[in-house]
Amino acid sequence: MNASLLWLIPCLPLVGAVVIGLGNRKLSRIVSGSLASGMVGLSALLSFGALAKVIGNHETLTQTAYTWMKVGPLDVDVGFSVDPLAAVMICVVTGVGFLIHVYAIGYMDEDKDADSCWRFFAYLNLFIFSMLLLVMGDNFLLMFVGWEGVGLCSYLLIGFWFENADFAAAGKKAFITNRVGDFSFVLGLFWLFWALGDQATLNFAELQGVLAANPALVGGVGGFAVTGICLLMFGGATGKSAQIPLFVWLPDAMAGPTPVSALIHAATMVTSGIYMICRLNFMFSMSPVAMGVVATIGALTALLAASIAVTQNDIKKVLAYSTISQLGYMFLGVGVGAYAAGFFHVLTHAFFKALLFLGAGAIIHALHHEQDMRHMGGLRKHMKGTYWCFVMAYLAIIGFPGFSGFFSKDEILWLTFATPPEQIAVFGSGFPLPTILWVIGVLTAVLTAFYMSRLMFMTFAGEFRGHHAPHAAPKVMLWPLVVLAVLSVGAGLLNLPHWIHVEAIQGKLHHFLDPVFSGANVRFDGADSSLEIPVMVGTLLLIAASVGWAYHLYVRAPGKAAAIADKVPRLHQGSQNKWYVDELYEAAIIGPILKVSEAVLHRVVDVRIIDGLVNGVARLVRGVGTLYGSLIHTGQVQAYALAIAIGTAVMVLAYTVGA
Amino acid sequence: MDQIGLHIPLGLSAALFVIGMIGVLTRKNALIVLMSVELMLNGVNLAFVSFARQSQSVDGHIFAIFVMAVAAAEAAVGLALVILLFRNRTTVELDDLNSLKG
Repeated sequence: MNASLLWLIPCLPLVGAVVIGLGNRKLSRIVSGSLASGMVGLSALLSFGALAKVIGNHETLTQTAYTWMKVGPLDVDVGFSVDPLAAVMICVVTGVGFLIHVYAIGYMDEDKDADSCWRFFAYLNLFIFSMLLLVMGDNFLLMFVGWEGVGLCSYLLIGFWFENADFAAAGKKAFITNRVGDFSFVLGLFWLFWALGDQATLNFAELQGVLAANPALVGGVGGFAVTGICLLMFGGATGKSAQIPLFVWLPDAMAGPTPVSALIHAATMVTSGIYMICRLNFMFSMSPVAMGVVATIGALTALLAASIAVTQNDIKKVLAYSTISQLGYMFLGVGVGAYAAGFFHVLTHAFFKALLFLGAGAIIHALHHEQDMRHMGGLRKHMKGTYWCFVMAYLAIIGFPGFSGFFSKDEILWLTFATPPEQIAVFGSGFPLPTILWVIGVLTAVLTAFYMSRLMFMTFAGEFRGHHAPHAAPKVMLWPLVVLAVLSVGAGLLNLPHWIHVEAIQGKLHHFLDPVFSGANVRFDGADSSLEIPVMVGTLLLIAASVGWAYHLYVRAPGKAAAIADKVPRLHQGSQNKWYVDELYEAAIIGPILKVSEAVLHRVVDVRIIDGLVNGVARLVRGVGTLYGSLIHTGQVQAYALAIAIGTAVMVLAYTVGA
Repeated sequence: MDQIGLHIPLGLSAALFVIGMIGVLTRKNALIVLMSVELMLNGVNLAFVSFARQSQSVDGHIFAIFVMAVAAAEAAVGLALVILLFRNRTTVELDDLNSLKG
């Protein structure tokens, strides 16, 4: 593929969105869905072409569409740049996006959606466009346009069934939470721009050059400015990628149709925070404190979300918390400096989590929008195809040896273990932070295996406990599952670990991404490499025990889980109620803001000051008019004549005196 | 012909004008106000002819004749207005006529 065609990759879905949007109600589900899928499919073909070119020529494809703005030393282009990182990412976005578009044609067949399907596919295409802009943009500004665009589409699609007030509120929550993060991101951008002074540039490649040539601009390695900038930008990532403290929107975002959950809230948009840090690896690596914060937040989020997922009964809620947890893993990876490993997990997670969501969607579809796992069970017999695909994704996410998730998760865990403490020196270099983070990571892996097994057993094993007889998924929904299942199983081959000792096939992705991460100064020599295999085997044993325990609780001895829950009611209810984070935010932030808004901003600022000013001006004019009316505008013709006489006398006098 | 100073007819003219103006501004009867306007116009006429004679030009005389013609027309229209006013309002007192007030 020629680099001059790069602009087509994002623009094809945009064309799709515009055409479907203009065609609106006149387009049926099949027509709008096929058009949307076709556009993304073409985009995917071009993306694979771009990837092939990048692999073949070891070069970065760039194209500058036009100069966006030129202000003083600042020169911002609408330019696209596809380096190895972006090339892989656009293939994931368009590839998985295409499969999910096709799946959605089957999923959106409810009568009540017949008139709004066009809206769904137009938004979905618009999302792909924004996401590609985010990934391919060669500067911060274009990336930010995509960043905001995906946020908008996420909001529109979460609230797709806006007749339901709860769903509309979920959309609003996602949007507002993301605004908080975006504000932080923009502040970071301003700071960076300000720190660079007359060398200011928003282009990633130029920025890397500027920082490499003159690190003192941002305070040097470990400098205050670079730490602040990185932390503010990470603040943006916590919003978009649902990390502590801004993760609360993602579980609610499950209000959207399931294909949306799969595409936006699992596979692509939520990974944009990790993508951003990978893109800025040269800058993040300059600040050990920022790296440490990223890794710590990631690990804590992974554990917190996994501990909530353990007790949820809504199948999509379990998957949502699982997504947050896996995103935490990715942040842990990029936080310790294992950018390629973190990004590898983005890749494998995109496959298996999209598959899990699409499988859950097939179940929900088959059960007429039943999402409570307590009303499922025994679906193995009714939905064979879905079941087998789901099993593949399940094995991938718990890290079953040989499946994709095993390789990516294991690499993150090992590299965390092997990180020298000074690389993520948030509490000082003597503090064994990597070891603590590794323990949290292993704990999370164990919890992950438990809640995913619980989900599997409650959904597919035993007898059917629902109300409506399930029906198998239509073919158009099934074959995207099959493709994703193959990818979930096989994606590990892209990046086989070095301990298999086959030079030709190991660490392919790693080598491919090397040029992108070469600017980052990271190393992993904090642990004896002979420990790697024992550590991995130990983790696997724990995971196996966890799966066995789940099997015992939910298949062999049903009822025992409830008995255990009764023994530790506080713990169980805390987890089931999401550790009351929503309530905490309500009491600590939302409530006070509403109160201040009502008491000060509304009653004083709005009513008194702003309205008072406007009304005051009006009252002043009226007062002057009334005065004029009663004193001068009397209706007495002789008073007017007197005014004319006096006026004339004054003018004559002035003239004669002046002369 | 014996010359008299310009100040004497001009003083008379100013006196006529001011007397007329005071009439316009203070008298309440519309008819009297119209008569006062005539007085003002004649004060102006006197000034015109005085200057015309002083400068040995006929322009001022012609202007005075124009003013008289306009004054005659104004008197005719003004009287008609006063009559109509009286028919409609049964008064010609200016104090009672304040419908111009918004």
